[in-house]
Amino acid sequence: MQTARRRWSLIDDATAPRWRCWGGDFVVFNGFSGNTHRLELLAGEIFFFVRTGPKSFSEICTFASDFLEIPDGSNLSSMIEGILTSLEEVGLLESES
Amino acid sequence: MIASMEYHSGIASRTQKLRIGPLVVGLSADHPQVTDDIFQLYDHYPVVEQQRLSDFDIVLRAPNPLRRFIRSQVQFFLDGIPPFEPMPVALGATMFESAINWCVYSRIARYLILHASVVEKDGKALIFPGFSGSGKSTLCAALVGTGWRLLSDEFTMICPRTGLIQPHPRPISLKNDGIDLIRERLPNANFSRRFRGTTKGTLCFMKAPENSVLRGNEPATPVAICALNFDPKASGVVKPVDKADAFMSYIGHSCNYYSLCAEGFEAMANLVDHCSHYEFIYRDLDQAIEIIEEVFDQSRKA
Repeated sequence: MQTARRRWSLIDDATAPRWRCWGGDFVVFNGFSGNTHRLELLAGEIFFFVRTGPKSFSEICTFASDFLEIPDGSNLSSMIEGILTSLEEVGLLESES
Repeated sequence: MIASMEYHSGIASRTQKLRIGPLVVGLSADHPQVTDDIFQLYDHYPVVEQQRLSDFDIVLRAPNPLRRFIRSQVQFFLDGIPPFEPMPVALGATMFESAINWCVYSRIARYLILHASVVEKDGKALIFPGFSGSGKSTLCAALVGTGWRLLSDEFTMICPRTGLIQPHPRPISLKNDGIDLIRERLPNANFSRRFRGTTKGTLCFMKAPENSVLRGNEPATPVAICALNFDPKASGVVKPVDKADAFMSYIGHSCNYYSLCAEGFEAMANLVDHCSHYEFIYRDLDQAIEIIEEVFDQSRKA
């Protein structure tokens, strides 16, 4: 799987996002696009995990598995892949091989 | 402030500058009916010296010399450009109100602006956003009639630096059924004549109370936001709204959130942080006032 070999990071420190978290829901201002995004709990936690430094797919899966307290597996991996794709599409994260 | 006839002759012949809350609005109008209608609503506003810079200068004049005399029309010009189509002179005062709204929405970048009515009591502000037809002006007028200070009927201006609401007290724009409802309820308030045939039906303006106008430089602290809708069949229940939901819905009520970028986000986020949030479908005014008072009391104690 190509996703498994990629690493994710914030696009640019200069456009570091501003954010709020209320009751597990994240609202993030995207300095790169000027848009505001609402992120569900897991997407928000993944976003802030990646914010601490570039992360591999397996590191993100391990983080999500620990966070949700469920075993890492194909269902979780595909869910995370979808979240990462969404975050990349809106310009909050970028990935490289 | 200057005497009414001076004021009248002032705007009939040259630009008059009015202070409306924190804004200085220049007005130049050349038709007596238009100046009479505007004067009736604005004769108690502070007048600013001509040398002072305006936030914007509104010119209301005939679109061409012929239209001053034959089927008289008036058109709004800003910096020589007419943003709207001309209207019959009889609707000139409604054009003035639309012109101020348009200028605030398109020209004022020092505040985060929500399309929402806002009233104040004891220094605390209650904001009620609502789309056109939600009944916010009717409720705003009713609340002002019970002693709340009018901060604004049309938009809520939030200072990004302080988080406070800047007043922008102007005539309250009542529409259609709301006109008689408020006129019967508040027989001692001052109203304009009825303006029939506007794009929103019949309009009538309730004059901003003098106390609200004179306190136009006194900001207020926001404590509650209650998104409104009117439905005569509704049960009238107030529902609390999650802050994240509230944030995203208020973006839809703001005309300049995106243009303020990160500053707009921080201003909106601080507003959401410091307020309680509700949505409320109201059935009638008495019920609405009672519930609004309860919501406000709970919010300011929170």
